[in-house]
Amino acid sequence: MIFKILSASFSLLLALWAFVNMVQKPRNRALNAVVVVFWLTVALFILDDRLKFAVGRSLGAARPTDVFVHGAILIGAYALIRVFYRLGQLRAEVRELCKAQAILKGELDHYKSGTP
Amino acid sequence: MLKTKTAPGVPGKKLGGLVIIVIPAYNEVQKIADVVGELNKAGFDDIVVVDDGSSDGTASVLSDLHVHNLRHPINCGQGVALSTGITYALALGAETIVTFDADGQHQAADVSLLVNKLVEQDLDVVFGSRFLGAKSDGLPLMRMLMLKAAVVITNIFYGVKLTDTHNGLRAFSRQAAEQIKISEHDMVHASQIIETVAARKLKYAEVPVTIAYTEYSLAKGQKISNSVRIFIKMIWRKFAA
Repeated sequence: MIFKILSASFSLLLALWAFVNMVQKPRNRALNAVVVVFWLTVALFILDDRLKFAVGRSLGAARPTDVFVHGAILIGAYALIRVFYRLGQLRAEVRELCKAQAILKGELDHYKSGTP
Repeated sequence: MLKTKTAPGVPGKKLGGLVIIVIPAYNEVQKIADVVGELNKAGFDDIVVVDDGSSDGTASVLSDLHVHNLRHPINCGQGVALSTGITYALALGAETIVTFDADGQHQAADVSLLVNKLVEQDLDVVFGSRFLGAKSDGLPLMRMLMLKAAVVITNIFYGVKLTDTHNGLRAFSRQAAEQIKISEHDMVHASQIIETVAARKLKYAEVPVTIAYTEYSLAKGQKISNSVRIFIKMIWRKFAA
C-alpha cells in the first residue's frame, strides 16, 4: 500500500512538473500537455487495479500485477509519445530546409540572370 | 524582370508599388501555363511560382515560363509553399503580395480589384470572397455548406467578420506579409493567416471575386474529412497558442 501511494504521488508530482512546464514554455506546450495527461493516467493506473489489469491483459501480459510489466508498459508508452513528437519536429525541420533550399536556389537564379 | 510597377486597372495612378503574385503549385502541369498567361495578359509580370515537389512535369513547364521558379525537393504542403513564395517575394522587395491558386479557378482580373482596395483604403490584407455577390457558378452544395460552416467557426474563433475564410486569393501589404508567419504546412494555413490578422489587429476587408469551378479545380479542392482535421487543428492551435 505504501509503495502504491508513493508511486501515485511520484506520478502526480511529475504531472505537476509537466503542467508547470506547459504554462512556462509555450514552445513545448503541446508535448507537455500530452505528458501531463500521461502521468495523470499513470497515477490512475496505480490507484485503480481494475484498470491496470484490463490494460495489462489487453497488452498480453501474463501477470498483469507484475511491477516490471507495469514499468515496461509505462516506459514504452512514454517513449512512443517522445518518438512521435520528435518525428513531428523532424518533419517540420525538413520542411524548413526545403523552404530555405528553394529560396536560396531562387535567389541564385535571380542573381545569375543579372536582374537588379 | 523586376521593376516598380503600377497595379493594372487604374490608369495613371501608382498603386501597390511592386506587386508580386505568389502561386503555390503541386502537380499543375495542365493549368499552370494558362494561369501564368492570364496573369501576364492582365498586366502582372512579376510572378513567383513555388513548385511544391510536383512529379507530373510541372517543373519542366515552369522552366519555359517567364516566372521566378522556386522548387521544393519534396511535397511540403500548400502552407509551406506559400511561406516560401512570400519570403522570396519580400526579398525581391515586393510592396504588395497577392496569393493566387494554380488550378485556374481564380480570375486574373480580380487581382487588380484586391490590390486597388488594399492601397486605396490603406489596408493590411484584402481577402477575396466568393460569397459577396460575384457569380461563382458550379459550387457543389456540400462544398458550399462546408465553406459556410468554416466561415461561421472561423469568425467565432477569431472574432473576425469574413464571408469567405478559405479563399486562396488574397492581397497583403508588405508590412502585413512580414508579420504573417505561416507555420502550418497544410490547409490550416488559411485559418492561421486569419488568426494572425485578428491577433495583430491588422486592417482587412473583402472584395467579391469570381471562382471558376471546373471538374479539375473541384477535384483539387478540400474533402470533408480534411475540413474536420482543419477544425481539430484550429482548436489545438487555440490551446497551444
